[in-house]
Amino acid sequence: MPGVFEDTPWVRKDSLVIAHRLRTYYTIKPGLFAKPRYVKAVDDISLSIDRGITLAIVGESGSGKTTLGRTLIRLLEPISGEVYFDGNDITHMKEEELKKIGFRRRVSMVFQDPYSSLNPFHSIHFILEEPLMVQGISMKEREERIYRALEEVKLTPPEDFVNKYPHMLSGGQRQRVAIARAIITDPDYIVADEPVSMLDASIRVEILTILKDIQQRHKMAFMYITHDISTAKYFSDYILIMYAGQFAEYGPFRDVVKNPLHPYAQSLIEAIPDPDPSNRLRERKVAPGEPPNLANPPTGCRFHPRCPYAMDICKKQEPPVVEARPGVFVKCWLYVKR
Amino acid sequence: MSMVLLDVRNVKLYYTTTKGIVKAVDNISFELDEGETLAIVGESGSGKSTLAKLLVRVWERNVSLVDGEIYLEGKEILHMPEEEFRREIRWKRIAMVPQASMNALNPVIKIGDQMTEPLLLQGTGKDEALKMAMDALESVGLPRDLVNRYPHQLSGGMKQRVIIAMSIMAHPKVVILDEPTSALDVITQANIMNLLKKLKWEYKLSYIFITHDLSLASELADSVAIMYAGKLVEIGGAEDIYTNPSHPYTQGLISSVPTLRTDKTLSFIPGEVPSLINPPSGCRFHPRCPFYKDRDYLKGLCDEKEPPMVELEGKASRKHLVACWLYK
Amino acid sequence: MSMAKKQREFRILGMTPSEITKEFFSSSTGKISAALFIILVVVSMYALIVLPPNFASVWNNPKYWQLNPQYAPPAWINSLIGPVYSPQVYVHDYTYAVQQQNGVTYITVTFNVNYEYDKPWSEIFIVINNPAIYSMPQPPVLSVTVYRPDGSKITLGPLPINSRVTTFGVASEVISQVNLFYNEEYHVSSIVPTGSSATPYIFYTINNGKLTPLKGTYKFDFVFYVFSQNSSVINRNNLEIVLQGQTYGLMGTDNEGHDLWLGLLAGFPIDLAVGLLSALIIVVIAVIIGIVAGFYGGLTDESLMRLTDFVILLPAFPLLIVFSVLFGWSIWDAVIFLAIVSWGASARIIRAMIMQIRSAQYIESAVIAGASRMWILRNHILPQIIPYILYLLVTNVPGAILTLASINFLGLAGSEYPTWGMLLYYADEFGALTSGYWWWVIPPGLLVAFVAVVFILTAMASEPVVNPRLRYG
Repeated sequence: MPGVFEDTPWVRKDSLVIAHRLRTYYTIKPGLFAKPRYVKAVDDISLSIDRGITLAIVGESGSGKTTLGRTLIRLLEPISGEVYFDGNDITHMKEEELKKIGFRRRVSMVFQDPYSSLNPFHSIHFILEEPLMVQGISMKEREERIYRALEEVKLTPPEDFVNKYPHMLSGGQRQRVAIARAIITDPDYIVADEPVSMLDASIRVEILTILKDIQQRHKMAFMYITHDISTAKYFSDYILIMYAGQFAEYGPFRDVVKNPLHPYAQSLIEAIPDPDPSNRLRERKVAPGEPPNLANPPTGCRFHPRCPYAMDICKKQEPPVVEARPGVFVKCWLYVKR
Repeated sequence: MSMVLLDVRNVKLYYTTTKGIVKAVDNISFELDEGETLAIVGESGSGKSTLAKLLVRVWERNVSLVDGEIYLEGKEILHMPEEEFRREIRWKRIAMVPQASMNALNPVIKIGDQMTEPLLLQGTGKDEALKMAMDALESVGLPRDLVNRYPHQLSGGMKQRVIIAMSIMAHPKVVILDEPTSALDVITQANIMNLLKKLKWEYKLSYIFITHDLSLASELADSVAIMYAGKLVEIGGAEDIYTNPSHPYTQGLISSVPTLRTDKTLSFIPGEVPSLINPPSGCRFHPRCPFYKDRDYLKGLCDEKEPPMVELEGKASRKHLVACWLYK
Repeated sequence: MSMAKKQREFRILGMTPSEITKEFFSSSTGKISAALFIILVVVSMYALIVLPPNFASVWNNPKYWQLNPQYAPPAWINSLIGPVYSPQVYVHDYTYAVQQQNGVTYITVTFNVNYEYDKPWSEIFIVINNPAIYSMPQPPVLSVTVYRPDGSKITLGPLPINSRVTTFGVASEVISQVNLFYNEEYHVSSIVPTGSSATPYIFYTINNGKLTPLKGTYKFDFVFYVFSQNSSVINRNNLEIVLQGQTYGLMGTDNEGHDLWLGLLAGFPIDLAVGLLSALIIVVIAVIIGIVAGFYGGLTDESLMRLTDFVILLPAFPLLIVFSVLFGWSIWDAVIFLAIVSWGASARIIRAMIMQIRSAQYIESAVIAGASRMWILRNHILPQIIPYILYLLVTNVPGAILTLASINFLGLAGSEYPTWGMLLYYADEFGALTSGYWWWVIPPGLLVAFVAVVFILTAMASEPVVNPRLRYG
């Protein structure tokens, strides 16, 4: 599939992972007979990730980024839009079909909480062995892969760790086991949902380095979901900023972070402190207020109640996505040329 | 010429667990001037939260040792009778905003009632207490009529502002903030930090700001104290600490913090935070210290004897002290 | 790359079996409950060994109990209150002599007996276990001479022996002979009340016009006149002489002379079996429903939960009563019915556990890795559920035991087998409480409570094993 989608020109049709106009809503039924309400967790998001590329999905809690990750890994089904993997439309595929294209083997996820993503009643050996057993790999090869995976995440010597149980390991070690489990089936695509947010600062770097090494060595496509842009910086090629379930800004990482265009992106980046003692002498210029309730979002552009540049049209109509700079796409009326 | 507001000398807090005695705070000393903000930075297991609790004298029941002295405006408060501390000091002169405090609001009681409760208990009249509460809300940027609302009607950031309002209501001298923004979004966090800055300038508050986030600490800190495994390893003015980190742990910590606006190579500290029950002998950081590994003359020193605090030359008005054998 | 494999420890719930036992015994509840449980099991096994397999029919056959006194307190009561009640005596120590003359065999049996009690023996039984007796054209005849401690002598008989058990004191000859004796010796007429046995009066004397026990050694001379050449018709092997006492055995007797010690003993295995079986059925149903509801969710879950709600609302005990009466149920029918209406709460618990586990992140990881539902059930859910299932089993037993004892107490759903509930039923029927027959009422009641408590303690002690948050240290 050469070329790009016309309505979402930043999405290349030959990428490994493609999301096109994805909408994933949750239904909540306030009562047995009341009309169901929708939480628009992911509302028209499109993206693509190539092999060897990391896309950072950045947004605050409630921005829908976790739901996006889950949809792309088919833990959830979207209400509209498509998800493609290696050319296959996997949007509504059943498990058996997914198995045929080897989707589960080629796609993995690393979760945020190292304490709940590992079954406390399983040994490390079994935790790592499980994905292989499910794929029907022979016992001999399983053993080899387990040891290799432990070495890749620098849990050495591997013999010391295979018979342990999660509660015997530290948070950082557990997260490394989670990563080992994610890479053990030799995937092409990994979704990492806040993999370091629950770890101490001095350990984060170690984990991020491991992830970066793995990605470079295996040329995987990576989706790195986080609210912390600083960590994303060391690990991302592109960035997609989400706000209240919607697309805000997309482009090459350094480009966007250096010159953010969307007012929300500007606030987000301005809000992040660097370790600089002169910070205490000045106020940060950020937008007031907090992200909206996704069950009842504002009309028009969802950021307008907080936006310092809000215009009349922002309240009434959702803006289109435009290419404000080469390669940088923004969903904001400020950049729509009349 | 600022007065020393809080003088903490050689405080210790140990508590017993089934696995042994945890030396959570082990011989810490520092000073806080009036109008100064001291950031206490440490990772999990450093003992910083225990130190915060020590300062307001609220600690767990299984405490086995509390030692040292704390002087507030010259008066010793650590060994003062509990009744007197409760009446005079706690919340009145030293207030604390604990971790995850947004969840500390009772969901079935109105905001106004929760805010005025401590005032009413002391004998303040109902009208006066309500006025104080509304004033406090206004100073944190919230509408005065919030006193009639319930906590579940507020967002996380608003709840945190309410808690901050409650802590400054009695115009305390020292406000201890224990990870005040931990559960908040980045932009909300920036807004809260702006608020804290404003209150600090307006009311000349002295903060003790406890956090694991070195970058966040720089938003408020005039001076920074670095804690590791229950001990204070470095303390000094913000400029000194951030531009000239001297303790190997501080150096490791700073180089492991990613920066958005500048480019730098990240490095990490190998190993793990030690247990507080059986900490390493001598300098508690020595098993992970790159200098200890490199330099033979330190063997027999760092692993056996605890380093004393040494004063370094500093640019800031606050003394720059390091506990490290490299500087002795 | 060396792949030295360490011996992988076998773990359930993340703990090795040795850790589990250590956790269980670390509390005093654990130690006590384990000790009591062992006692329970040991006694039940003892009961199964000691009692014959057809104990139920034995219990209901009066033949075995007719020699026992009825409503008799335990024999050890004399050690508490002094020698008041005569114990049950089986005479073994007797001299036996055979003489034959003129085609008649004279068999002489002599024995002594010490009487030191306030209440004398109520009856004397002569038991001859030889069916040939009854078919003889002329049955043997018995003549008895009693030599009393005060020197007096009573001659009783002749009595025909034409059944297996000859009840001495109710024979009309004996009654009139005793009456005669008292008339001559003490000038009291008709000492034996009509309808009563004369035996006790053998042991009385009249002192100052009052009937007082005559304590001392009594010598009994039994002479059997057997009209046959066969001297072995009555011999040591088939002859039993029993003095029916006022007390009996370890736990006394009930209205039919049943040895309550045996009855209570029999109750152990049956009450245990009944409780365990009921609990087992409950847990099996609860687990199936809980797993299906929790695992499949959606409509299946909804409908199963409504069914569970309905079952929980059913009034188990009243229904049990009604059906037991209506259909004349046995204890086993009651067990099954009780299980069928009691699984509700346990099912809810299992379902909640499963739903909680299902929402865990490590389950999501397994799904992402491509695990099928069955795989997740087998490898993630079941290992966590199984210890809890055992715990549920233990917690359901006390309720079952108590309910079944209650239903038995009402006289329903009984069987020929003496459960403790049935013992209490009869005790109530025959006014045991008002008559003061405490040995009939208290032991069965206590035992029911005891077994229930043992299971409750076991459940309490195993809570830390099942619920990691409660673990000590």
